[in-house]
Amino acid sequence: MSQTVASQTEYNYKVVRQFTIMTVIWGIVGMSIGVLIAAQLAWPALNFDIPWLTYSRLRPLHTNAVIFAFGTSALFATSYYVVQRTCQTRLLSDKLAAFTFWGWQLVIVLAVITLPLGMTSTKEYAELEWPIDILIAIVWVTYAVVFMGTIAKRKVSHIYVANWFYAGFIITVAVLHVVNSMAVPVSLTKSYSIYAGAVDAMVQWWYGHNAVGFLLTAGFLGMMYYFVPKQAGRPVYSYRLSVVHFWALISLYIWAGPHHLHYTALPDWTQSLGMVMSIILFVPSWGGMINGIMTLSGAWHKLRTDPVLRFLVVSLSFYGMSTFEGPMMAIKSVNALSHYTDWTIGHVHSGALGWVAMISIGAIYHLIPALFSQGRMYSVKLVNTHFWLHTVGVVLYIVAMWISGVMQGLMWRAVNADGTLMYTFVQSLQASHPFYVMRFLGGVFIVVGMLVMAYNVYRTISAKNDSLKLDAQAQLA
Amino acid sequence: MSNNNSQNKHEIVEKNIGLMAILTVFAISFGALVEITPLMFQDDTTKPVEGLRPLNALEIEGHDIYVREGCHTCHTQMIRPFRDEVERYGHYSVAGESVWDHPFLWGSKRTGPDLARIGKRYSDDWHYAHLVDPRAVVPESNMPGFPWLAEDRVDTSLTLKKLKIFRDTFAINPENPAHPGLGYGSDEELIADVAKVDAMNNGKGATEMQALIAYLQQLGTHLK
Amino acid sequence: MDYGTYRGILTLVILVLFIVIVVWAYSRRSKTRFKDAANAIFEDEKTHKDTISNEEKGSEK
Repeated sequence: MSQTVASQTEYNYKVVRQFTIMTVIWGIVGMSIGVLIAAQLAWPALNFDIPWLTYSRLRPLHTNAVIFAFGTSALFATSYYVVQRTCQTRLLSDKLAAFTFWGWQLVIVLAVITLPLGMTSTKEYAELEWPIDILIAIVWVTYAVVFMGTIAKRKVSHIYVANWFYAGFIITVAVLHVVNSMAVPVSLTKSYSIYAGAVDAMVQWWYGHNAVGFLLTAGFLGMMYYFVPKQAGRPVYSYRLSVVHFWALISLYIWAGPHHLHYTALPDWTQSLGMVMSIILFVPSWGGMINGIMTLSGAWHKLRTDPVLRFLVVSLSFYGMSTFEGPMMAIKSVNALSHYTDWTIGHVHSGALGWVAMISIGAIYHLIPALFSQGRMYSVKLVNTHFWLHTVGVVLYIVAMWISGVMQGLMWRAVNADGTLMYTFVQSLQASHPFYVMRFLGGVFIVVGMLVMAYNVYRTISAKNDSLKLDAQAQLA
Repeated sequence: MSNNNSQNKHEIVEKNIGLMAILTVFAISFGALVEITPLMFQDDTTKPVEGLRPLNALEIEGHDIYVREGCHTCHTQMIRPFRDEVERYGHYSVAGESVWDHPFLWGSKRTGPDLARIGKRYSDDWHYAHLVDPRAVVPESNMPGFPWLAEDRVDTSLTLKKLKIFRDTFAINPENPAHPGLGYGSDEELIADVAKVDAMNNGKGATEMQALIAYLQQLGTHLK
Repeated sequence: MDYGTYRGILTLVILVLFIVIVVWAYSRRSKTRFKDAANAIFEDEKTHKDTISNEEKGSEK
């Protein structure tokens, strides 16, 4: 395409641009649906008695839209960018890369159509019916071929650690998806899982737990290991720590989700070892967080002027918080209180909105100028506005869910002196109402922030090429 | 493995993406194999509890409506062995009750109460009124209404196929050594069962509401 | 050997592997190689501008 830059390495930025733009658009869509269903829980009249607008059909659409449309588009965009930049070579095949883009958009559109129609396998984060599952598998294998093929033809000898995390996430998600989606079709839109009862539950949560561990953790750590050092302008704090981080994470994650084994009869010494393993996993998780944050050592002043870096660093703080909260909630006695309540929802969102969304947003603010021939975003002030809207939104959200979650757990288990229950179920629901309103407000803050981002991205892209220069005045004072 | 040796080895891994991919698959399969495969061969996760019977034609359609409307997003079917849960919902759930559930419907969130033993706790009329307009029965409820279920008829064109999948593919039949004598019967019996659904309401067929209520009313009624 | 013992041994194996990786990563021999690797992300800035040519952008619009 560009003969003018023949002397430079020619990268395929087209597919990166496409995925980057769609990340912003799907982010707005997915989070807006989230705000709608949050409102429905506070004010049930908003279900309008219309089947496809009903909360229980829209909730899977919300989770699929934010995880697979917003989050995974961000992973596609950044992984294609990072693998080219760090391997100093163009993607293996432009055609295959274009196929992954259009194939993935088709998957998302099909999800938007089928889920509100009630076509669902019920398995959390794997609700899509079998024909779409097959399409996902094809697109995903193509993604793996493009990504690994690009690494295989790299012009440098070492494979940079970010690519390890991306490769680990791509391979693992393929395995998880295929195993968990096994089903017997009844028709094009209906199937039954081949697994039954407890086995199905175990397969599902092996999938669910590791979808979080690999897609929402390893993938985004790949993002972190490139964009944090790059935005800070200095190499990662400790590369050896990142190596330990990688192997520990991918081999131990599966063992750290023992919640489904709490009531099985394991010998004591096995349980003790298992506890040691959980503590060990906590160490590399925090090692990774510290590794990212300490990359800024000696450059802390940049946080004052660079809101993009602020997004990246605060996302790491949320990562640290979630990876502390997660193991804690896996402790039997804590789990007895937290399970089935809003606490879990709060935990998921501190990971999804705090860690995943913030690191993605930071990476996108880094990418947009680089991809569209600009020195900086149209307005650095608006990036900062977005940062504060998002942070306030996340804090409102998770504080609301913490309070209502713990309250639910305590109200459900409260008994009178004579052994009868102190509260009916619906009393706990009534008590949650103010916090559902607070959660809704938090969501509104976040969506408004995303709209500010969309405007800023639009102005940056449509500005005259090279007209936005990175100078001192443009930064925040 | 000596330190020196492993060092050279990791250098090979770092520079060979194919090998790294294989090692990654190995690392993640480990936990899965150990945790999942034994469950497929343990009696308590594969043997039905005494008294369990498979869903009939009307109930299986009700089950699919439960799934379609997403009831499992807010209601669990898993009572934990805690004093308060047993007090509120009944006997705690055991794995043998869900051995025939494809998929499992244990759920992960209780925005509404657990339904594992909702069967026979309320009348059919109560369920009808509650599903059409939850706040007419429980003013503080935030559950959506599902009034269309009362109007729409159950589509039975696939019911026989569904029953046969459960009988043949999932081996819920009397020949299965895990539960001799239990399960779905002959083709004729299944066809007659589907015909009963079509014959409801003077031959107009069952409403989706009737199917869903039939499914709800049998939940958790098997464990004695 | 029962299932629990089997699980316990596997857990122990992973623990040992983890310690091997830590020892390896923190051995002195790896130090310079890792330093080069960490700086690799800045290397392509010499050969590639962060922004692309106007022509290329124009051609794709």
